[in-house]
Amino acid sequence: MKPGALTISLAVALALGGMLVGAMLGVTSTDPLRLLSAIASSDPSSNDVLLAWRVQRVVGAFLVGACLAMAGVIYQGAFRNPLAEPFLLGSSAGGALGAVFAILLPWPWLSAVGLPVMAFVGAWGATLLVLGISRAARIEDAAGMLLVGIALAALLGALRSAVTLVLADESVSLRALVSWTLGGLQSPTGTTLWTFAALTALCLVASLALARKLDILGFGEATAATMGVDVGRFLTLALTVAAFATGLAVAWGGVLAFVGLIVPHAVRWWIGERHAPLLLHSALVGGGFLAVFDGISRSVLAPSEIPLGLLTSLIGAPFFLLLLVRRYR
Amino acid sequence: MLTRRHLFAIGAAFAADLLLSGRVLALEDATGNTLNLPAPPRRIVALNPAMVESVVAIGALDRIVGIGGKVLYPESVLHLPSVGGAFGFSVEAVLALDPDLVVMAVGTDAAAQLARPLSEMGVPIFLATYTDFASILAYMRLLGAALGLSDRAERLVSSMQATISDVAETLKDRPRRGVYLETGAAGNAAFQTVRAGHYADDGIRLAGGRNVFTLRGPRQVTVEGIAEADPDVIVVLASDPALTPEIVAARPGWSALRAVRESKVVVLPRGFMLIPGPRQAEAVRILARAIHPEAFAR
Amino acid sequence: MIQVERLRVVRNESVLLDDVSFSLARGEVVALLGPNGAGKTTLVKALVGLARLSDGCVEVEGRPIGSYRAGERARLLAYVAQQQDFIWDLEVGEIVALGARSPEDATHALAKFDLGTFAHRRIKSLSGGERARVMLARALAAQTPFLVADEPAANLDIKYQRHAMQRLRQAAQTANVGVLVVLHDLNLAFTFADRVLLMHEGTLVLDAPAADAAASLVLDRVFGERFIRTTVEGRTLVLPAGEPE
Repeated sequence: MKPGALTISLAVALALGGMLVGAMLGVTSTDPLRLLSAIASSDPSSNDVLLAWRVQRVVGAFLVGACLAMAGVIYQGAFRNPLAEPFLLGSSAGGALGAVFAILLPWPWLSAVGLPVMAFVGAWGATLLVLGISRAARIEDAAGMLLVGIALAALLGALRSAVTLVLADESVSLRALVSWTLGGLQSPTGTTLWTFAALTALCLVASLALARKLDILGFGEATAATMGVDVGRFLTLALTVAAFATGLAVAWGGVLAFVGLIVPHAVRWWIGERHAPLLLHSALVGGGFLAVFDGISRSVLAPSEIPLGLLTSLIGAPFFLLLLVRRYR
Repeated sequence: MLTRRHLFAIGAAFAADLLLSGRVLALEDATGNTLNLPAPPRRIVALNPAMVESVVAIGALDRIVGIGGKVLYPESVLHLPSVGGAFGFSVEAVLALDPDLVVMAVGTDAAAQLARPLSEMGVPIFLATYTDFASILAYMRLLGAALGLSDRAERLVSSMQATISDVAETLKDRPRRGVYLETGAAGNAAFQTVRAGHYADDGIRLAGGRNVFTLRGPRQVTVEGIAEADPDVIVVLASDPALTPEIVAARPGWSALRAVRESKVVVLPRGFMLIPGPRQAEAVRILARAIHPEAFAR
Repeated sequence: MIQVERLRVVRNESVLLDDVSFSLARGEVVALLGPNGAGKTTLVKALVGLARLSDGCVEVEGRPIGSYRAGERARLLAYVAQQQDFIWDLEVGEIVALGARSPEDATHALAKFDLGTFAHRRIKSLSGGERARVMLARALAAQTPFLVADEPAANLDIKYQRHAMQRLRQAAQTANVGVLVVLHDLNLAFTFADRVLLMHEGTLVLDAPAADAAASLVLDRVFGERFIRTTVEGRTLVLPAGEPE
C-alpha cells in the first residue's frame, strides 16, 4: 500500500486501538467508558486510581514501543541492513549495567537518581562511547562501528557480571534484576510521563529530519557521499538520535529485544521502504502493539505478570516467521 | 512417590539409629547422597550463610576451618579463611584446608562448583536441601547427626519451635491477616513475591498471616494484582536501606491499596529475613510483629 | 569549469593515475575512453571525491574540490556510478526525486528517459538497463552544472544507448551542463562528444576534439587494434579490423 492519508489513519487507529485494548486488559477487564470516567474523575476512588495507573502504563508502553520502532528504522537505515536493531551498539549492555548499579549499589544518591535515569545514562552513554571511539579511531563506516560496539558490549557485559557477582547477596533479589533485563514497564506517571512523551515526539521530529539521507545512504556509502551525505558525520548524528530513543525505551521498559527489529520490517512490507513514512508508521504501529502486549502481560496469567520482553519474544518470533514464510511463498 | 519430606524422615531416622547403636556413622542426606564418616568431623568447611549459621548454632564453631560465600554473620567466623565467593569457589582452597566434612546447600553456586569434584576426591560432603519451614528444621537435624551433635541440633530445633509456639500463643485468637510479602522489585515495577511451599510463605502463616497470593505462575505481580488480592498488611523485604514505607506508598497506583491508605506498610531487611537457617524462627517473630503490631505492644 | 592538474593516484605501490591534466567546461560533452585498467574509473572517482589524491589537484569553479562541503559538492557535481546497488526497494519516482532540485525537475527527468510510466514501480523489479536509466534520470534531475557518468551505456539496449547520449548532449547544450562520460563504444563517443580523452596505463595520451581523435592513430596503438575509418551517411565510423599490420 502506498503511504498516504489512508495508511496514516490506519496506523493512528492501530496506535489508539492498541492503547485502548491494553488499558482494557488487566487483572480485570474494563470497558472504555469506565476508563474515560476514571481518568476524568477528580475525586478518584481506588478503582479509579488503578484505572488511571493502567491508562498511564499503556501510554508508557506505547511510547517505549514507538521509541524502539523508530530506533530500529534508523539503525537499519544506518547499517543498510534490515537485520539491524537498536541494541547493536552497546545500548542493552550499557542499560543493563546502569540498572545493575541502580539496583545493587547501596549508595543513597543512586536511589534518589533512580533506576530509569541510570538505565538511560548507561544505554545512551554506551552508544555515545562507541561513536566516540569510532570517531577517534577514524572509523567512518557502519561495519567498523559495529565491531567497536561488539567489543564494548562484551566489556560492559563482563563488568555487569562482575558487579553482580560481587554485590549480589541475600539482601538482593536477583530475580527482580533478571526480570528487568527481560524487559518490563516501569509505570511512568504524571510529569514523568509527559516528559517521556515530549522526548519521544522530539525523537520523531529528529528522525524525520534524517529520513531523506537515510534513503540516500541506501545507494551505498560511496554514492551517498557524492549526493551530499558526509557519511561519517551523518552516521554519528543518526546513531546518536537512535541511541537516545533506545535509551528512553530502555529506561522505562528494560531490554525489549525483539520490537526494534520486527516492527520496521512488518511496516516496510505494508507501506514500502522510504524512510520518512516508515518512521512515522513504525512509531505508531510499534507503540500500539507494545501497548496491547503490555495488557496481555498483565492479564493472561493474572494476578501474575509475565515479563514483557518474554512475551514479545515468545509471540513476536513465531509471528515474524509466519510473515517471512508468507512473503517468500 | 517419595517426596523430599519422606527422604528427610528416612535420613533422620537412619542417622538416629546409627548413633544409638554406636556404629560408624553412615547416613544419607536428603539428596540421596550417602555420607560415610568414620568419626564426627573436626575440620568443617561450611559454605553460604545458612549453612555457616547452622553449623555454628548446632555448636561446632570451634571445628570450622573455613567458610565461603557472602557470609556476614556471626562475627565469630569472619576471620576464618574463605574458599570462594563472588567469583567462584576453589576446589584447591577447600582441599588445602584438609576438611573432613564440607557443608553446602543444593542449588547454590558452591554446590554446583564443588559437590562433584569434592565427592570424586572422596571428601565427605553434606548437601542440605530445603523448601518449606519444616524442611529447614529437618536438614538441621540431619546436619546435627552428621556432626555427631544430634542432641545439640535437637535443642536448636526445639528452641526454634519454642519461638514459633511463643508467637502462636501471642497471636492466639487473633484472626489471620492477609499479607502481601514483597521479596524484590526493580524500580517501580517487577514486584516479586513468594509461592506456597516456600519457607517465607510458611513464615507468613506462622506469623499469623495469610499469603494473599496462591500463585502457580510467575512470582511477579502488578499493583493491580495486589489490589485485587486486597492485603491487610504489606511487608516489603528491601535491599535498599533507604527504603521507607512512605517511599513504597508513593509508588504509582499504590494509593489505591487499602493497606497503603491504612498505613499498614512495613519495610524489613531482606538479608535477615530470607536466610533459611537458625535465625528463621526469629524472622517469623519479626514478621508477626509487623503483621500484628498491637499484639506485641506490651 | 573543472580543472584537473597533474593528478596522481597511487594505491598499494601501484600507480593508478600519473600526471593527468585536463579541463571540463560547462556546456561541453567530453568522452573518456581507454582499455580496461587504463584508469578511467579511478579518474572519475578522483573527480567526484571518492579517491584520495596522492598528488595534484582538482579544482571546481576555481576552488579545490576538497574545500567544498559534501552538500555543496553535491550541488555542483552529479555522479552516476558504473554499478549501483539498491538496499531499499524504493519507487523509481522516489529515487529520482532524491537530490532533485525540484519536483518538476524530477518529473521532467523521468520523462526524458522514458520512465514516466515507471514512476510507481519498485526499483528491484526493474532490469539492469532500466535501473541504469533511473540513475541517469536522477543525476539529471539534480540540475547540477557538471555531470560525471561512469559507463552509463554498459547495460543499456542499443536504442537507449543513443537515447541516453542524446539526453546528455541536450543537457549540455540547453542547460549548460559540463558532461564527462566514460564509454567503451568508440563510435558512440565520437558521435556525441565534443572532445575525447584517451587514457592508457594511467596516463592521458590524447586530448582532442572528437573528429581529430577519431582519425588519430594513437587509438590504434592504445587499443592494440588496426582501425578502419569510414564515412557512412556523413558520419565517420571507426571499426576494428584485426591485428595491426
